[in-house]
Amino acid sequence: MTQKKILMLGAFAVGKTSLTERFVTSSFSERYRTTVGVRIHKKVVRVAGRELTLIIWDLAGEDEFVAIRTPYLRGAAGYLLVADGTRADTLRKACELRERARGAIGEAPFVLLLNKHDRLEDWALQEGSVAGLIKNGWDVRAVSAKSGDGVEDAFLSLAARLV
Amino acid sequence: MAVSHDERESVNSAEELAEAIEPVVEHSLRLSIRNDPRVLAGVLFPVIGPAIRKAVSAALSDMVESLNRILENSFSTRVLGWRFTAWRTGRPFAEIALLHSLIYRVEQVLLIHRPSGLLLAHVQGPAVAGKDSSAAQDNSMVSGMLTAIQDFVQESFSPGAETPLRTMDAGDLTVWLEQGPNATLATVIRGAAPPELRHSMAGALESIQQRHARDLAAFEGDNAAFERCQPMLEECLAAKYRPPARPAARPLWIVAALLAVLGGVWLYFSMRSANEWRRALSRLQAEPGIMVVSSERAGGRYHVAGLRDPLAADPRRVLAAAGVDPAKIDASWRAFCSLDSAIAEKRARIVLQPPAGVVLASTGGVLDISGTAPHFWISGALKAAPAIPGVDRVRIAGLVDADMDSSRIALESAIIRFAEGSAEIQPAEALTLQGAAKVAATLEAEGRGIARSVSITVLGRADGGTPSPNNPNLAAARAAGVMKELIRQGVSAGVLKMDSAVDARTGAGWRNVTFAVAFGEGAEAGSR
Repeated sequence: MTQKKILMLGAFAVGKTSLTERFVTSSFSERYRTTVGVRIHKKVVRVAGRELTLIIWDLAGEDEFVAIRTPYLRGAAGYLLVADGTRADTLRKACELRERARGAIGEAPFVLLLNKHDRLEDWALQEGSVAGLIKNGWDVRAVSAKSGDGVEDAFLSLAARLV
Repeated sequence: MAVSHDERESVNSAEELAEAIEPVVEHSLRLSIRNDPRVLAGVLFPVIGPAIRKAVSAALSDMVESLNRILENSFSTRVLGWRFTAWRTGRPFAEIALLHSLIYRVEQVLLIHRPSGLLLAHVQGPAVAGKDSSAAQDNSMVSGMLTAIQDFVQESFSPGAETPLRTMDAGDLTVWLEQGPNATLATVIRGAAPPELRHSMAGALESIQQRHARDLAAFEGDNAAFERCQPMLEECLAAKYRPPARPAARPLWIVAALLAVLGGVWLYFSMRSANEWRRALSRLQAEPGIMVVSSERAGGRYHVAGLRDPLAADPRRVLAAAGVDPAKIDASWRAFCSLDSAIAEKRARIVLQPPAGVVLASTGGVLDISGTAPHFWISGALKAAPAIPGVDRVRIAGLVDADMDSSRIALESAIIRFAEGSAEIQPAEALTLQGAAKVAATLEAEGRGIARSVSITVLGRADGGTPSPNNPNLAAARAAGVMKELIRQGVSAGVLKMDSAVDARTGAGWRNVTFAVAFGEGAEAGSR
């Protein structure tokens, strides 16, 4: 069976773990638990008629105090950049991490997830910034770990680009 | 044996050739099976049959060996402890037994792609296989986590240096990691593995790195190519158990068990015997006239010593009745005089020799004599009894003096008759009166002899034939006349009382004097 290592990258508290759990176990918890280091999940998906095992490395979020450990990025086949739609700075962090990932593992498929789409009234992203990324060829998806909207599609979209 | 340079070269080139044609052969076999599996099955049939038999035989042999190991320890205290643990934890006894006789056992071997942490191949020992299938499914996550931990440790403590994490401990389990350029070999070990296992791991990893150098370098997630590594990984699934206990220990154990059983039986009988002896002794001590001063049970014999009244029961018989073998009794008694009531009563019976019809009863130093006895015996008994040890007082309230009773009857049947209207004693009545006086005097003397008071009432009567106001006086005068005569003939005035009555009837039969005798309760003779 083919396995692929994928990463969850993003700023602190953007919802990486919630998105992973929504995808892997179809569950969501309102309680916030910070990830220390890394958590590893596994999910078998079917892509183009073949089974693919995704080994998802849910890395601790990065902020001004904690930096993502580069060795964790090695060997990844692709990654999901996660930003919080209600916090504009998390999109900047996602862009930064995209550069970091490119430096560590080269050009690899990725998807940018704008999380917390269920709270659209609090949305703080500028239209232009997201549009610019899409224009640059980024796969950008608005998702909600809480409602599950768009989460599975986003993971499957990345998986499809890995085979 | 010396190997020439040419021979070595020949071996090397053969290995290189084998490695070169390996993919081609594999591809051909795969194609052949895909086209028609029966062709290869037919070719391999002679090989597969014996191989299966061999595998079944090896599995059976393993099972028998495990059973032997368990049975060898089946009766030891250690195994009882294992059984308790199995009961407490709900795990099978065989599993607990194998774990405890284990020195070490490699339970799982994981081959991990170093850069990505993805699982390349995995084998697990028979003790783990099938036990928890969910654990087996998570090996790809374990593989990733092991890689993450390695990366974390490497970067945190020795960044830049090639000093990888080699060992992790978690309870009973140890994880050994062997690091190659592109692959990591991880073994999950229960117990304390020897350093040789590390060499085996290094050898296996080197071999894998060498044979799959290209697969490792080009690995993009498909681990099919690493299925061939399974035999090399299985070589690392080593295990070692403790040798069975020395056979000499078992007879010793059995002897100890037998001794314990015999000891238990001896203790049981010994305690039972001690209880019987205690019961017999207390029965002996309760026996009147026996005082146990010392007692002992030793060497299967019973020793008892004390004081015994000659009239007391035979101690040997008392003990025998309580279940003690008389042949095993050594007794030593010294005579003494018991004041116990039962013994005093016995003694009184011997001393006084009571006639038939007399009952003796002794309570608290008082001897009660009841029944009927001749006067001389009563008189003698009253004198002798107070001298009997254990008799402080003698009571004869319930005792009838046969002689005094005869005298009473004789006196009460005497009638002194009078002429009508006269209180004069007729000459014909003188003899009767004389006889009555004699009996009365005897009664008085006998009563005095046994300290029993005697009271004689002289009853004068007058009839109602001749109506006369003087009749009551006449009755009294008759009684007084008889009383006076009795006194004159020697009867004490103190024992005599006078009474009179006038009868309504008429006739000579109602003009008389009769006697009524009453005795007091009698004396209480005593030594105090």
